Amino acid sequence: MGIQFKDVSYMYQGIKENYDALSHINLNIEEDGEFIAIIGHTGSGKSTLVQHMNALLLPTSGKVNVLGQELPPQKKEKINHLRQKVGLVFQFPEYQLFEETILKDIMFGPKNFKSTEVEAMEKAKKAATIVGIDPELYEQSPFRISGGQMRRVAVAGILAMEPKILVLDEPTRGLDPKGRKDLMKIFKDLHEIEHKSIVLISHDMDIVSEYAKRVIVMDRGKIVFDGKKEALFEHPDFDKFHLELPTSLKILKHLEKEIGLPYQPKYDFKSLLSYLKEVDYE
Amino acid sequence: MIKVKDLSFSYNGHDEALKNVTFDIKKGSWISILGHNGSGKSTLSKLMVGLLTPSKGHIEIDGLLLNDENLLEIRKKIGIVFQNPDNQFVGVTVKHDIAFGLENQRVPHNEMKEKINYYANLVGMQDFLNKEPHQLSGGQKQRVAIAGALAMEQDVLILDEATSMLDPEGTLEIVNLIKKLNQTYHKTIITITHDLSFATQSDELIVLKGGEMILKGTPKEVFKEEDVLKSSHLELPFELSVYNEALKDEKISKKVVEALWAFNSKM
Repeated sequence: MGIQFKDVSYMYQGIKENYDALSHINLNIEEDGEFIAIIGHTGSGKSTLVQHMNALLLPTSGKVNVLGQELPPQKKEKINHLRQKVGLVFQFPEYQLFEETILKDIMFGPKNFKSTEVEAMEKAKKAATIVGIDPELYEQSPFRISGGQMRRVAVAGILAMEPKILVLDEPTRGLDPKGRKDLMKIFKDLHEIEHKSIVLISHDMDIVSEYAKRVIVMDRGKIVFDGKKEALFEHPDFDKFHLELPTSLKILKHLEKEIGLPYQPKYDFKSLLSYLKEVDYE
Repeated sequence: MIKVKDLSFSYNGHDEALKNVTFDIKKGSWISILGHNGSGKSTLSKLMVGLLTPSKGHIEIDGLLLNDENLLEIRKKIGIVFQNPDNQFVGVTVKHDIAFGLENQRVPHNEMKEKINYYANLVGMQDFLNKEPHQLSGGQKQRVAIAGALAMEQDVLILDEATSMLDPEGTLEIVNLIKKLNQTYHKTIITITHDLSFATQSDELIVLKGGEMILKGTPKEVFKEEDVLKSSHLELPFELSVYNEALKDEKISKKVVEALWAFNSKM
């Protein structure tokens, strides 16, 4: 089932003029096994696109199908169950923390979707363990922990709803490198162990290069590339996307140019280093 | 310019967020204070502008001791720009926002207009004077915040995580602006950050961990201490750790290692 977009456009209504934030989007996301990065400049429509994935926005024209539910809905039906099935983590989600204790904050989601107090607590504890929040912190205020921990509590609040698909809008922005790595590891594990589909918006090409399998490039409301990350970074017209290369590829290109080291794309730290060790050079 | 001596601070009376920190900052230099979330770096910046009062030790700015009595005088010497561009935009438009501090100082209208134009120009926002905050990108809003601080004509500017909420493009805008302020306008700059990649460009680095200063030196000296940095939850930028690893590995030829260093120094 997954998520399908069929010729979807979305128009924001301004005071003086309207503008198309999305225009004629066609897209298919599988229910599991995907790790998709959505990239593109500020204002290219990335956030508007992902807000369609759990019905926070409804298309102005065209159809979205989320796990079998057609949007906009045919007749008057409730669609808020989609918010449980497709977990959306906003930018700076820690700004949405509000409860007295960390555990209560994580329980808020499941309780809204008809879990009993006991079930909600069980789910919350499980989610807290996944994101590495120590049980000692459960009864503390979510406002008295570090920024990185707050971010993880907010992510746990989404995971506690046990969503089928996880959608993240710039999950690592503003975190320090350690926090960034720890958080990405959580998503990587969810993807590799539970085969959950992950969709994430990122500006960080090193994250895209290390974690994503598939990349969608947005430009002025349109999808201008959708395919494997290898196909994007090796695209003959890569320059026309106006994107940065990941650092590992920049280094390899530099080594080829300066000392004639044969170029072979490597997408993360480990494979870059082992290539530098193995490569038959000189 | 700035002398920090034996500075300690505690939010609750027993856990110290900052412990016996001592350092000097020379006039016209660019210092980066590094540390992971919760290392005490923002506490330090708040102490330096007098938003918090030290529990022990003292701060001297341009020969003046930072205390209640001197606070107004000191605020004329040191300004700060914070992390979140949306929380510090107080004006209806760009020009009103830059004017805010000037209005508080009752600067005459004509002079105010001149200053607004001058500083908007300096940060490259002269064509946006009548724009409203929602029409600006994060990087543009931060440049307006910097213009507002510059209009106070203080010698020292603190940027507390001023780029951490921006995209790479916005970050580059601000880093270039910082360089210009430091090199062309001789401002003393203190950047507080966890982003080691742009800290490489400052004159000196101070590393905090658990409220204590654990490293101090030029970028080259500090980056050698990869293990200490790692234990402080600070990670070297990708390209620098590739270089460090390659340097240690005998299987990788010297020529490759040299080319990797060249890659780092041109960044």
